Amino acid sequence: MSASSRSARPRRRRRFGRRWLSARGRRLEITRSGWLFILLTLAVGFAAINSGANLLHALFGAQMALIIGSGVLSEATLRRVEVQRLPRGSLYAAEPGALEVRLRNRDGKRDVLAVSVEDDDERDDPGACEPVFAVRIAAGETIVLPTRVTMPARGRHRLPRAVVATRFPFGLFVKRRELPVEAAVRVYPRRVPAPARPPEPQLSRPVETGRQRSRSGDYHGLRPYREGDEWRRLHWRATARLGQPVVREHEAGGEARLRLRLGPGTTGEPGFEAEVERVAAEARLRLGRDHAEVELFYGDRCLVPSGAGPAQQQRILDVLAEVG
Amino acid sequence: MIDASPLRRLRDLLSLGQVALALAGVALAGGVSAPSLLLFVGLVAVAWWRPLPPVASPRSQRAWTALVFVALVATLVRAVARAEFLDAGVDFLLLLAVQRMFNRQRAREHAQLLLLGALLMVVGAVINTELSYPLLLTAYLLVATMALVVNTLMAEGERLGPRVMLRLAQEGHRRRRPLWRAAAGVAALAGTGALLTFLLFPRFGVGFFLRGQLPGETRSGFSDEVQLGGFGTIKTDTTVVMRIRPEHDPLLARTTWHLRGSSFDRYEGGRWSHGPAAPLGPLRAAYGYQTVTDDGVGRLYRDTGNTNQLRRRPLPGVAASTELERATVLAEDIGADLLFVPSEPVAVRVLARGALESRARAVGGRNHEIRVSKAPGPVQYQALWRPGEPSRAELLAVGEPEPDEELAPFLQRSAGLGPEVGELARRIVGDAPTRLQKVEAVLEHLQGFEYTLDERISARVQAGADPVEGFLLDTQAGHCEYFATAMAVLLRELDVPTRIVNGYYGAHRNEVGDFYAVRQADAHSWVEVHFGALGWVTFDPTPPAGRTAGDEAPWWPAASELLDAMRNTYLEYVIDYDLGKQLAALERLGLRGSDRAPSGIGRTVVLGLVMLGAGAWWWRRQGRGGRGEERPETRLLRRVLRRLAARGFAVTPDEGPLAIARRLRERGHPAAAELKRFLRRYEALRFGATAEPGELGRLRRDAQAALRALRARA
Repeated sequence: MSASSRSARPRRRRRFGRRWLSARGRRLEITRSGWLFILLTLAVGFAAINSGANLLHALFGAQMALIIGSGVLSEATLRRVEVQRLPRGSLYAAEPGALEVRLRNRDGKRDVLAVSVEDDDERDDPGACEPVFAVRIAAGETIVLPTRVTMPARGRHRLPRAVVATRFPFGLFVKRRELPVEAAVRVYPRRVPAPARPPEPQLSRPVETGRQRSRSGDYHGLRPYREGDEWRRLHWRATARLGQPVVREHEAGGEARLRLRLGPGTTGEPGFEAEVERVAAEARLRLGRDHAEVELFYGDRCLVPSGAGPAQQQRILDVLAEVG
Repeated sequence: MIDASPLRRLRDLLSLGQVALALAGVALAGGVSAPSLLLFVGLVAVAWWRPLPPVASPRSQRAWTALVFVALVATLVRAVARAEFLDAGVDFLLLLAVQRMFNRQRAREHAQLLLLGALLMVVGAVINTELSYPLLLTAYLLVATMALVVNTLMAEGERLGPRVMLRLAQEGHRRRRPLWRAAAGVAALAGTGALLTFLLFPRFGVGFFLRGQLPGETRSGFSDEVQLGGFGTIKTDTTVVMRIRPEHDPLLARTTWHLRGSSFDRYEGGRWSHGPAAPLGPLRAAYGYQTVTDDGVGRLYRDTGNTNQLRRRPLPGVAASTELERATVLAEDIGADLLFVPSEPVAVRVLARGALESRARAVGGRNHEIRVSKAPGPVQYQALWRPGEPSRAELLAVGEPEPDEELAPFLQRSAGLGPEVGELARRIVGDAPTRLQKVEAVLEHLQGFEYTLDERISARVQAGADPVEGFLLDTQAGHCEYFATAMAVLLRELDVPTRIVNGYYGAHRNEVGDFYAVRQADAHSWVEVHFGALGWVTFDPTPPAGRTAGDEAPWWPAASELLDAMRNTYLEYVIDYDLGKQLAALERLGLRGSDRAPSGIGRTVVLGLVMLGAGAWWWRRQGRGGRGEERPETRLLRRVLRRLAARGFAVTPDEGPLAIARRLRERGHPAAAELKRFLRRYEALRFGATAEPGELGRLRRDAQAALRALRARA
């Protein structure tokens, strides 16, 4: 067995009862109320058989029907519901980010009642999603429930594995269905305050790519279009001549052009992680507040060439999310 | 925790409702004492308005724990030392329910309330054998199921945190209709389970908990002694005590049977009892019955010479003596071990109520009483009696027989009676030469008396005289016991052997249930006079109006008749349902081997059920299962494609549905536009990112339009 497949297995040992009641991605767990109800049913059944009392037989039958009906209904509920989880906006490490849970009732006739989507408590996946709960999903309807997810570390991660669960109708049993593994999401470094220390050495007059600055700063030159640049900044004649999109760059009056440098390190090392967070904070501060032009070096290697504006900030954060 | 108030209130109401229904099931069977019930209601009312705070103080927690501990000890003491297991257990459950009602903030407490309700319902199933139980059980299943559903939602809110609880607060109460629908569906499922288990689960038990005792006091008149005046209190009681199905229905609204129960010979100080010399009349086994004997000879015999039928043994001098009537009697428990048979009783056969139940045996009592050997309880039996009485001429022919030594107990005179009674007797009969004429004179004298249920006590009786003296000499007003006692006493003064009989007079026809019901209000007393070789003959001195007193007691006769018929059916087919009836039902349905062929109805029912199941399965497969989880829009498309194929536009494997629309347009088919509109909407719904609400309905309308257009072309 490979190391990766070993790591995919739940680390916590599942109890025998749970293993026994699990099959085909479904898990059935009997709650405390469920055990009490089963015990009461057995006692009534014993009394009925022992005494031959007709009403006790009827009561026993009703209780057995409730147990069986409970299992059938919860299974039908889980089978009807389709779940999709989508992040809304950027996710930063150790900070709740918006997540959207879409629940669709596949059945065209019957409602789905009382389902929750929550983290799989048998997995030790990093991160935690706040659970969502739908009282009712009408036949054929899709509902969207907002929730939040908190990822502990930057990088590309899968969302913590989740289950769609129901205790409907009586809370005697919990039935869970594992959700399929979703695509990985990018988690940006934890947001920390920028350190109050002198900025990196100023290289030259900054080059401003923002819309406002373009009106005030002097023309600096042309450069190839990068994702995130505004279309209005395209130099159409140069684009037509060169056969590729080219944008204008203007100098920002009197503001710095910065080089952010990140020392080589390994993901997970506390010192390296702290440095990544500091660089990310610095980039946000310089690009966002100071409107500076910033470039990012990893050791001696330039990972993000100089640039400014929100697009540049995104480029730097994308790199910082996965560097190391 | 955010308060989901409307849902919380609904949950409180449901939790309380299910406990109340379960408690009603116990209380209606007399399983809870009135003080306990009142205390419970009062405390629950307080708990409803003033529950404890969510976080109870340690002091109050300790107080509750101590109270429950003390109650537990008290329950154990009552159960062990005083054998009040049921009462003590119910009281303890009620205390726990009160405690949970005071502290009912969380789902856990409500789950405990539901458990207590279920336990009370189990107790009700054991002790409540009345028709009220299945009605309460039906309501309980619905309310308890909904309570469970709502409590599950609230438990999810507590478990998943304040955000989910907030959503529940916003949505839970608004969605209560689908929740009620779901609860009703599950309750129906539970009801079906109950019914199937009841019908099909084999009965192995020995029937400890079969029909119980009727609630209420022990009926007067049927114990070993009778105090004069006891019947007056029960003449307004409409409780049905017996149901009789005669073999030959007399088709009367009210029969005139004198249903004989207890009989007494000794009268002393206003009290009737069995005297020490009262003759014992053992029953004898004959032809599957226990027959009443006269001087050791059974009254029942088989007429081998003529019709080979069972008859009453011939009585010389009585033409109608060999007549015999037969009926099945279902008697409730009235606290006495008597079997009631119309006069003159001939034989009885006790019917076993269950395959494994030991059959009770009829035994003879004193003065031709028929008793039952088993402990007091409901009993079913066949009764045989002679309906015909000796005619007047036959009685006259007896003359005045000489008193027999054996009849001495029936001539006993009360020491407390004054000489005025004897003088009155002699004055009434004058010089009547025959026994019948003496009896008729006394009857005629008593007909002038007033029938009343009021106890009129004269100064003579207050001074210590016998009550019957007050009746005969002063008030001349009383009820049947006074009339019967007076007649018996007067005739004994004239050396005529008499005995008093207590039982029921007549029975009311129940058209709905096709049986005759005897009510407690029909309790009656009369007299039997010995006529020598003709034996004991029944005479009823009570005026006719007095015999039927209590007939008007039901405030709504039709309703009480219907209710009684329902109750009888319930007792017959639910409470007394046993292995024997189960097997018989299976045989009738052809599901069990039998010598008899299954009945036509049985075959039809089985066949119907099989076809119903097969139809449901087929419908399910066609609807969904056959093609997997087919979407409704796909079903519509298939329908339209089928119609197209029927019109000669079958879709080929290499073209999509829109290509057919093009083909139709090229051929100038008028349905082309409708078909295209339908197909466009289908594609948007089936493969689009999101569907707008109501889009499926619009697609359905488009499909109908396309189908109509295609049909119009045809």
